[in-house]
Amino acid sequence: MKYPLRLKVNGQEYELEIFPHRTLLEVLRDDLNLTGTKEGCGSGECGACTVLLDGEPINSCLVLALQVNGRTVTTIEGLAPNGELDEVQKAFISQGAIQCGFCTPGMVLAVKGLLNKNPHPTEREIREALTGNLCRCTGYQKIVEAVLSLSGRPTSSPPNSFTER
Amino acid sequence: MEQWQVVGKAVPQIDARERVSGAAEFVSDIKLPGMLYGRILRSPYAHARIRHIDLAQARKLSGVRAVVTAQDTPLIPFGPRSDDWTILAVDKVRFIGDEVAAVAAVDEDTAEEALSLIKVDYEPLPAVFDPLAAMEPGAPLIHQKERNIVAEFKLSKGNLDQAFQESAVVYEAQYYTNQVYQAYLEPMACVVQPDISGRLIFYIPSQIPSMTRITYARALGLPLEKIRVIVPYYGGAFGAKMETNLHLAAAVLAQKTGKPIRMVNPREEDFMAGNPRVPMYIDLKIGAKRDGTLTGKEVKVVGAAGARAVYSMVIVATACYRVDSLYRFPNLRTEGWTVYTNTVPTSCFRGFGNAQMTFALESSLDMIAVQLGLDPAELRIRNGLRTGEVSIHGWKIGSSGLEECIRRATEAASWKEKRAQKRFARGIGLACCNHVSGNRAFAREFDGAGGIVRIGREGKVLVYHGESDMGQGQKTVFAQIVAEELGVPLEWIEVARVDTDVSPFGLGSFATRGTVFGGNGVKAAAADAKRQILEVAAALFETDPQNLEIKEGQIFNKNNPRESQPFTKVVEIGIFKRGGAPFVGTGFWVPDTELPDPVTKYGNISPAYPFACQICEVEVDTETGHVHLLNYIAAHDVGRAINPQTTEGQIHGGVAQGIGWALTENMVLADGKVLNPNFRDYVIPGPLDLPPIKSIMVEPIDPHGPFGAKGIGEPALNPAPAAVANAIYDALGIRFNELPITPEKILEALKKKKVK
Amino acid sequence: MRMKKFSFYNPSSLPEVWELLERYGERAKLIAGGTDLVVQMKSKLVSPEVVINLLPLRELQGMEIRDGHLRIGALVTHAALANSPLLRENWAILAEGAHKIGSPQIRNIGTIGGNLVNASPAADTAPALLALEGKVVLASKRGERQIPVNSFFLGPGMTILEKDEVLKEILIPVPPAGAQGTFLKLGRRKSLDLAVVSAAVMLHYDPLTKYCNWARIALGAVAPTPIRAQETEKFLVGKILQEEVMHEAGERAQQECQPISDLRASANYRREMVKVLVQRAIKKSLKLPIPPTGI
Repeated sequence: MKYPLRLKVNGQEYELEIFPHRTLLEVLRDDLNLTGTKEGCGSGECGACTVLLDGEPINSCLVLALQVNGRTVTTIEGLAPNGELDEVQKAFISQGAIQCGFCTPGMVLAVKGLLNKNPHPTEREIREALTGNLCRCTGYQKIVEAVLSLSGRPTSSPPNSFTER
Repeated sequence: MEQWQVVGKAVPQIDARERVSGAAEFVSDIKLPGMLYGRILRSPYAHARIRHIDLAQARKLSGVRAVVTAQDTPLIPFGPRSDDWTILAVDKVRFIGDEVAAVAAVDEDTAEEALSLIKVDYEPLPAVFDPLAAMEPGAPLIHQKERNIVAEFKLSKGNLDQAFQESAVVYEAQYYTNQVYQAYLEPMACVVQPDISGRLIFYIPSQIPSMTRITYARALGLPLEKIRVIVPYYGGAFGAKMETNLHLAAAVLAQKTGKPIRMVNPREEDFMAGNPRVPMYIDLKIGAKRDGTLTGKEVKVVGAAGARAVYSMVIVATACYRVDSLYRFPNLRTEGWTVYTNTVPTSCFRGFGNAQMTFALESSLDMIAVQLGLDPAELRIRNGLRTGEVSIHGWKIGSSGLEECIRRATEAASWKEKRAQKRFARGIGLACCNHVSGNRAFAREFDGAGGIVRIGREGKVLVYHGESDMGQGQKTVFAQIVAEELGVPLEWIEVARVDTDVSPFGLGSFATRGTVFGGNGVKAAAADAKRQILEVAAALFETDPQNLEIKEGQIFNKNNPRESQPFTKVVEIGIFKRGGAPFVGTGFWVPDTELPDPVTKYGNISPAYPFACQICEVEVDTETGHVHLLNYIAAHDVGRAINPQTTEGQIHGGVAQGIGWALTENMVLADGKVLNPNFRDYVIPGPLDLPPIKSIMVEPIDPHGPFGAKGIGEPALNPAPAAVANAIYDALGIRFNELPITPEKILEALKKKKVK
Repeated sequence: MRMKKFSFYNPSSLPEVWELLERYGERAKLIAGGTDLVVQMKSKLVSPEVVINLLPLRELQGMEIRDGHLRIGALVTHAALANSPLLRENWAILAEGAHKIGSPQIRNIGTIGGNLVNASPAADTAPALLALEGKVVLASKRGERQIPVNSFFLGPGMTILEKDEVLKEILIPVPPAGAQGTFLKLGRRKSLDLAVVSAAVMLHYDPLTKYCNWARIALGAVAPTPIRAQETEKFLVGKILQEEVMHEAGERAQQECQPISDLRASANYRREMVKVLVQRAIKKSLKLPIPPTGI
């Protein structure tokens, strides 16, 4: 049997009726057509499904949608509501932190979760905040640099090689 | 030093906005009207006869629209390089995960439930899991091939025995490179859509769309024109995303139901039935003179193909002889075997056999340097091929930046000082590699690439190519090349997704060929479009086309630069003059590469050869066995970096994968079963596990690559495992010849060393 | 992959939960953060017909000092524990343990109650709770009982929780004033990993002489349950905490564990690492430098 679900997603209220075995990830992707949030593993081990739940990053593949009834969710689509990209997104673009882009929505939201609490993280703090998000393309370095460019803190990474050719 | 407008600049990816906003539609995001969800029933046995399949209950389940077995397929044996595939198992299953049946249902729950209702009566057969065991007499035969051998590779040059006799040292060792998984974040997926005429549209993550189309047409018994391949955004590949039965099973379901079918591998199944790296046993014997000049090499390679041949025989062949064009080996004796085993079929993974052999070779060279008392860096420089040389197999080295890579890497790493320090448990190691930018031997059809550049009235430039962007930045590099060639701003360029109905026939993205081949293809197309536009402009300017130039979107007279017209205006005039027809430039690039001689393997197979040198610094925790990576330098000869930012991103990613392979990644198999089919127990590096990676780009400017460029994708990974192993040797004085080098192996070896 | 369908309940009080447990018995499962249960349901290790959501229950929330004990509601998340200023005074090793669980995402919804009830031998909050001599409060219609964490675990995935009981809260006494401790976790990589071996150590010693008068040592992932190394604790009391004593403590701890070989590590390696971690944990508790260890 289906149960009622009220969710505020990206500032918009939704009222749905869903089966209890459906995860938040499925409801976002299939019922609300917000396919920016991805499924990489289904078991909370890769972070591609990361969304913000009341501002905190969580793995939406592990959460029964009904358990977050009445709460607020932010997906990647919610970061640029009027087409103006969020500063994190802009930093990712300019620093080359995106390759295939599949981990990117989850990664960006994990970063948002960090910066909302700690606007000037050190490199160590950034890396720790991203331990729930696997990336196979980038080796994380440019992702970390992108966040550091917003943090105003020094990097341990060597300068980009195109200054040395 | 030429002044390029766009080439050579670190511009962000042109589709970065789509990817970072979640707007990019990946394969697993695609939703079509009436779409059904597919799943595959996979064999729980490594080797078994199928006695009977009972589909009745599954078919009755409400919401199930089709259940198919091999009987619903044309039963045509096929394969990318062989004939040992069938879409679904016919009489036997040959690995745990083998495709037995497929289901299409109205939702994923129903599809999964239907799988559990299919009853298969198996008769287990004896199985064999190791390629050495599979070659033994009496081993169960997986296909009807003697000793389970898929292919053999044999090569001899010079007089190796004499060379060894005349060598000051001869170093012999055995290596094992284990089976690792590409671990792309988006699991294998597809949407296959039938249309009313019986055409099938495959929305697939394909590195080789045009080639895949051919294989799939053959498998489905359809004429080629009935198959259309469209490549949406996809989440990484690293070699794995070529032909797969996942797509074909979906196609059969699409034919059966008349509806689009989406099939996505649950991650566990992706581990079980993906295309992991070919594990290899490598026996390597190398001779050298007192001064470090290499005299010869003897190689034996045994690689496991798994239950059917994908590209493993080409990978084993590559392992056998690619490094012969990294250093000068005047004498060779090489044998390689690709062998069936009852395990998941193995295939391409960044490095393609060269990665496996590079681990062995660079480890051995380090030991030779030790035995001769030579600097390992100097040993590489002495033997490395230089610009203008032709290797023993006829590879023409148009440009080699190897020496510069080694010099700049060692300087950046403080190589001499660090090596002099000799602190126990702290070490520094170096490894080099070569690679190709394209491989004539991979695809029989031709070698080359084509492009189409369409310019519309408002100046928007649409580029068509037949290769594949899996996130590495290929589209952006193509856009930069076209923008540079045309003389217009990068923002005007859009690169269309590959659609075999429209795009040129592209061999695809493998063998690190994208930039050189695809880049040259679209460059030629852009040149053609430019020529057509300049003809129109010439009439306007009342001069000859060769007096005109285009820069930053302005066409001007070289002799009188103030005489200029906006590019868009000229285009519009031209289009209106031609009844509205857009400017369409087509072009192609065919290098004079050669198919290797079947016996001698002689032939220049690639237009350009990238080189690299990587250096790793480690500290080993001798109580826990953990290896802490302190520092990493990666110097890469890329010819010219069309986009230093994407090039650097590739270096970081390749190094990360190489480090994972060296230290933590292992597909653990027991009786053919993958025991760790998940990210919890298949351990890839996380953000705290990687050292800062310094990348150095060496640009010798290749004569053949577009604007002098060569490739970067695979060389980024090749040297890493050996760089790590060599650093560990420097730290502990212990050689590890088997990957991964785990803490347990390190502790075990330290204990043995203490006892001695 | 796909969970089987189930009925779902959102009780608002413990009595309602008990009522549901009585009605459905074995057919029901309680869910808190879901980080273990949802994974198990997806792989069909468990397929309850009824899922009872504990998240709305106020009685299971909150952290405060009560009757000289630290009270932690079962639904307190690992993130809340890791960041809690309340824990920093006397119970820092529990914050350290919670901090090393999974990833930030997992910590934001995973709960201490769930971690305990899941009863993995490698559970990261368990060694600290053992070393701190915590107690779990199990509540049913029949009343409440307080069980030392040391008696709570019975085996991998098994606890003494009765079918009609809910783990309501954890009570932790204040350790001896001035006690120092640390939690170390060794994995295969530096984050998002299960413990191959973990160790929580609490010591009370004279800062000048290093004379030890109280010790608690708990180990994870080296026995069917998380365990206290009580023989080793006894050994340490009355000793001066110097190199040889730490060394011997490590060896004694090895005797007290029963590790298995599995996918992640061999029994031998685990046994070796018990020695290393116990030595290093003692050292760190003494504010001496140790190499960067594990996660």
